[in-house]
Amino acid sequence: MPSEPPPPRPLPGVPTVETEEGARTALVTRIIIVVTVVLGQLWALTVGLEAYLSGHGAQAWWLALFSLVSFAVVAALVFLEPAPRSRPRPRTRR
Amino acid sequence: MSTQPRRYSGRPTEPDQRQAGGGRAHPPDPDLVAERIARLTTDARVTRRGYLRILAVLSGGLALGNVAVAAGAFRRRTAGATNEVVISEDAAAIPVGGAVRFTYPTERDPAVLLRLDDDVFVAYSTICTHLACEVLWRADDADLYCPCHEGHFSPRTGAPTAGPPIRPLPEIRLEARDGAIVAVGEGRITEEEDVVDAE
Repeated sequence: MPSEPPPPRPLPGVPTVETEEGARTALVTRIIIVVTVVLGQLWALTVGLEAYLSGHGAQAWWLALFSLVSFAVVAALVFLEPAPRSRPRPRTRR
Repeated sequence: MSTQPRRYSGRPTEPDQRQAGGGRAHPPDPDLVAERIARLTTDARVTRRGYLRILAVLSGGLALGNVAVAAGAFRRRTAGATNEVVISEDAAAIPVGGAVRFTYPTERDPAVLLRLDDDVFVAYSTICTHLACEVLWRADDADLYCPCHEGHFSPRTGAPTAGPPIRPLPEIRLEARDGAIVAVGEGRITEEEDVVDAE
């Protein structure tokens, strides 16, 4: 019984379907960036509280602004999913 | 015997006994079993995307907290208390250099009355203006001392003299009434009003 020929391999350098490993790496990279930003927010909260208790209200507001911008960055990283680089691989029929 | 190669279908295979006519009367639905297995294995751990969303919620909470701090949501008591509290019925019984702890304006606000000289009494809130630890009176050094971050305040004026505090301790206005010392208010007062003659 003749079997189907294998699908042609793409030429070197041609964009191919994003592998699962590549997608995982991108996700882990986003997690690392978000964790770094959240740590910065934690720092801003402690310094802002210190500034407020010391009577420096303006400084506390600047730090609050920094924290809000950080949250915007985090939200963009979390909810703006990048589009896949190519079409998904067609499913093979069993 | 079948010559077809077996392929992995992703579903649990049925027992061979069923094909032979034996086995259970009501075999479980393979789709249902597969769904339950998938649900159990996915609910048991947090995925990377789920972890990312948790971090986003945490980030939003930190941002809100920072805004709340700047807006004064955790504002401590304000100057303007007018209630009267008798600190000591007999002011003469307090030795020079001695102190009497009391609370003002509420039961949750610690304060201290100091007798700096024969006829000089001062009182301050003992909530440190740095991070709200309780300030202690050290008679040997004539110093108001915050043990949390090594803050020091002048007993004469309540102003910070060393350490991280920047603002002075809130002063409490005093009045002498028939030998008793009464706290009558809170807030910044002038140097002259700072001193109460107990005589």
